[in-house]
Amino acid sequence: MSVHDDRSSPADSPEQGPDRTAPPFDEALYLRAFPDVTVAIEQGQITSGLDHYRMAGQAEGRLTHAAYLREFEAVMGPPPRVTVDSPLRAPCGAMLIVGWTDDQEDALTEIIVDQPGVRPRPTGAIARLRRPDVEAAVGGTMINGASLHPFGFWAFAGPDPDPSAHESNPEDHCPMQLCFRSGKRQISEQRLEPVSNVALMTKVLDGLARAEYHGDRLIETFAILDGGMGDQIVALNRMITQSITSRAIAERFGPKRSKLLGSIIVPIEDRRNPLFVQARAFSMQAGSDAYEFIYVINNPDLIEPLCREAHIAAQTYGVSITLVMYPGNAGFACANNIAAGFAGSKRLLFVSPDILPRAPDWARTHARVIADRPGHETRLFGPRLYHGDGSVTDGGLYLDVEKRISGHANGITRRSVLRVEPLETNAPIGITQGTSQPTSSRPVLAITDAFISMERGWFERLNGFSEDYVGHGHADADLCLRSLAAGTVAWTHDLPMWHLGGRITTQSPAQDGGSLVDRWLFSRAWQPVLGEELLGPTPNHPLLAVTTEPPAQVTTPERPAPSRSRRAAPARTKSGAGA
Amino acid sequence: MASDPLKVLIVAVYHPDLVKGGSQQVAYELFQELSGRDDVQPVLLAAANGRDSILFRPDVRIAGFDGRPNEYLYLTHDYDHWWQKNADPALTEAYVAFLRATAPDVVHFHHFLNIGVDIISLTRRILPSCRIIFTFHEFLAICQADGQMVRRTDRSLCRKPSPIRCHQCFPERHPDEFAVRKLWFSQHLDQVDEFTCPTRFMIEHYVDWGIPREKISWVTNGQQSYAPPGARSVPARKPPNRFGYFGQLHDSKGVHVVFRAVNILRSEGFTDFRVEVNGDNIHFASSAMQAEIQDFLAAEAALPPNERIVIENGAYDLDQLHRRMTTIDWSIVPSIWWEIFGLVISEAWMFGKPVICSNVGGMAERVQDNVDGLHFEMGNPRALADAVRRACTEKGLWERLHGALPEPPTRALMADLFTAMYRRPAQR
Repeated sequence: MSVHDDRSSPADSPEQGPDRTAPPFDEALYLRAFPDVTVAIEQGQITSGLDHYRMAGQAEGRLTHAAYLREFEAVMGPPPRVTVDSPLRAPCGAMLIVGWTDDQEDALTEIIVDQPGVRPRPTGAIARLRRPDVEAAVGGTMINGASLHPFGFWAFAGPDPDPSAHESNPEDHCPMQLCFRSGKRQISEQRLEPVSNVALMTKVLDGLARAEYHGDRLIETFAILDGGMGDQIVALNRMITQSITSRAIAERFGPKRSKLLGSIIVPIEDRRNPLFVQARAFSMQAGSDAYEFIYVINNPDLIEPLCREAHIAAQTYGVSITLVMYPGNAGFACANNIAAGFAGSKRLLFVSPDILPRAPDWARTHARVIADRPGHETRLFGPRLYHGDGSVTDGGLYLDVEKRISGHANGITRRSVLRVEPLETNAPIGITQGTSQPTSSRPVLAITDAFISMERGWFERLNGFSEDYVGHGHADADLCLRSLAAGTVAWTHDLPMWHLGGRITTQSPAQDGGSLVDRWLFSRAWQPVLGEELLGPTPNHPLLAVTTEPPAQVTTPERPAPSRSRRAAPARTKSGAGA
Repeated sequence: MASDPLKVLIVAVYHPDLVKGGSQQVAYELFQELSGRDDVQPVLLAAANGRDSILFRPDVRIAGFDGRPNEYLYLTHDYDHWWQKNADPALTEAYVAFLRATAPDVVHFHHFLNIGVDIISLTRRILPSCRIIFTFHEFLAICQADGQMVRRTDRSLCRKPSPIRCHQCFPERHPDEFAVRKLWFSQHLDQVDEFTCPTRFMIEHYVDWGIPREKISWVTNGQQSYAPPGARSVPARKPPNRFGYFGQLHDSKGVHVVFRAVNILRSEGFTDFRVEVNGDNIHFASSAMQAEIQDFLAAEAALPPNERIVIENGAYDLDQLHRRMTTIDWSIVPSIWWEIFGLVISEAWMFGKPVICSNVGGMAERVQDNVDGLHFEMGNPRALADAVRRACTEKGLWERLHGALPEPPTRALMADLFTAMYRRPAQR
């Protein structure tokens, strides 16, 4: 009897249920495994094993029953070797399973986690990667000493729609089924180590950054994210940020002023460029009283010192400071969106902690730009940025398509991805890119999140920053492109600011992973809709022509509204201490 | 009708009765001098380490000092030495209340260390029309390396501070961090009406750094004289072969250069001279320097008394200065940094002792080579050894240099110059 010849493929039927990845049905194996079925046939209750399977066995999960699997394995031989290294589970039901398998002859197709009391859950797409340690031990087809087979795998399942079940059995061991193309499966008893949602997210991003592939790293990463993992990561990120920001509170320091020209919003997540340095730099000059600070603390460890610093800064410089705090890091986009809800003015200035005014009259210059330039030029604009090495940029960004090629044993893959680059306008030092002549004011495709001055109404109409982005490398360009799609292009004006963000530190692998996800997300969203006229350092789109005339009706890229959390009205603002 | 006395708040880095040091000594001398004048009403606010003290109530941030009139202690703690600021909001509140209570016409900062550089901006905000005077006592605004402008890479003097060169001294910090640091200090110092330096070479450093030339001027450090009448005219020994070192025993003061010079001369068989070392605080020295100083002094102490050249006298107070000065003919000031003013030079002059000093900074500006003292190449023991041998052996040298010694600047002179500055109309 040939198992393959006789398979009736019940697992391929539309009603997949718990048997979706079960080994194929085989009449003889079925009867051998389940004597009760043979008895039922003999008693005339059913006509065959398949009849039983269809009526009851499928619902009972008989094809994944140990007895059937034993019979199946006895005929087919054992499944490929598998080692699961570190299965993790978060309270939201998200799971990360990392391991390796020698599945060169029989590919791993799915992993199903069968937690007690919870319906068995497939982990979704399985990412394959290199495992040099396994290659050294197992071998396989080798070229220049390296195996061509990606022995490593990791599988990630995002938040479960019903996470409550996962919280009830945090310590339980559970069987994990690793399913192979032949139908063989390896049952592995595993303890899913409970970790927090944030820790799991960090682990996933860290793994994404550290993964080794055959071929081009970016293309292979994007392929993994395309396979479903990208959306799962975004879903987990959104769940985390919603959970964190739902507990936001605010504390006010210093005077509360009624007539404000602008609200300076600064997300803070580390101790570089402290609050008091920026508060001093933006204050104690003509017109600066018309601006308030809203600092969003994206790191709970900083809440206590920043409260002290805000208290001192409010007393020392007479500035109005609101600290928005919550128990975690909600990311750049979420932080800015939350802070906008606390703003007391009709203009929002999204500013990095490493931005400092270069001239003592920044407040008057900013107000003059808004008063003197046409409205469409100031709805969304950035400043001129001076860098520590002496170079000057106008804060503009351009987009271009980067063509990449990935070669590996399965073939060669071409892929184009978007990249966001700074427009250098007057760079005496370093690489010059983009337009060669500095201009005091001009439209640009996008501006950097280092400094964005924006009408609050326009920000709200665009629904703020997209909270899908994990880091903050692409949320700025995304906002500007959505503004462009809605008819308003970003501008840069001659408002001189220092941008002194250099540090002797490197990004953590998790931050690198976040950047990869963001780039993938940005490319997926915008690459299909951006025409050639919008790409490159000197785009030809009519909206990007330098003119003071209001923009004519022109075709702009279209994109659905961004994903942004629905959240309750901002939490209470206390009246804190201050001079 | 006489006008109301001018209320002057003098802010000092420490109180010299609690922590010895040049800048606090000068600030206190100024306070004492002004206290004796009718047209000025001075108040002293000196920083003190509040955390170490058990003498103060826990809720007090600005305290009196043993009931001394107009002397207060600013109890600093958790001080941030990178940003030069305090981290305690209660200290800021206390300072605001103190300013409002004292309502000075002039606030004269002698340094910002321990006080916090941001206190200058706070002073301006609370008292918009007061005159703010700032006296630089070293280069801390320019240089994070203890304000000495000495390169940590090779201990050479720094003449071109810049973010990238500062990064070389502190590789763990990015050049941008030094750019931000400079902006931070500049913005606070921008609230100052007038700056002073006790030596003129300093002015050029600060002008190069960004202080407007029209806002910075020279005002000497002044001291009361600790010498009894006639001390300046006491003749030297024959030959004049007794040398004194007065100062802290740490790296930048260069006492090790003296020791190395002694070793050179001893190896050459020239031993008819003595060096007396006065001072301590060796714990501030680097471990390598501590070892060198301690090893030398131990070896010296192990010699038979008639073979010892260097004698360690230990720490001294100003009232002991007379006795220590009577046993020497020359004062050696071997600092291996710019040495802003060198109060020890003034003190040597009070007692009629010519100075042999490094040929840089405040030392070179104040001591004229071969006129009223001798210069030697900074950090060069061979050069100092030659100067010592010449001082001992050249006939008539001591008498010629001694005859040209200037009068040390008095604290009355210093107070006169500052008072004129206090009364200048505000430009702001």
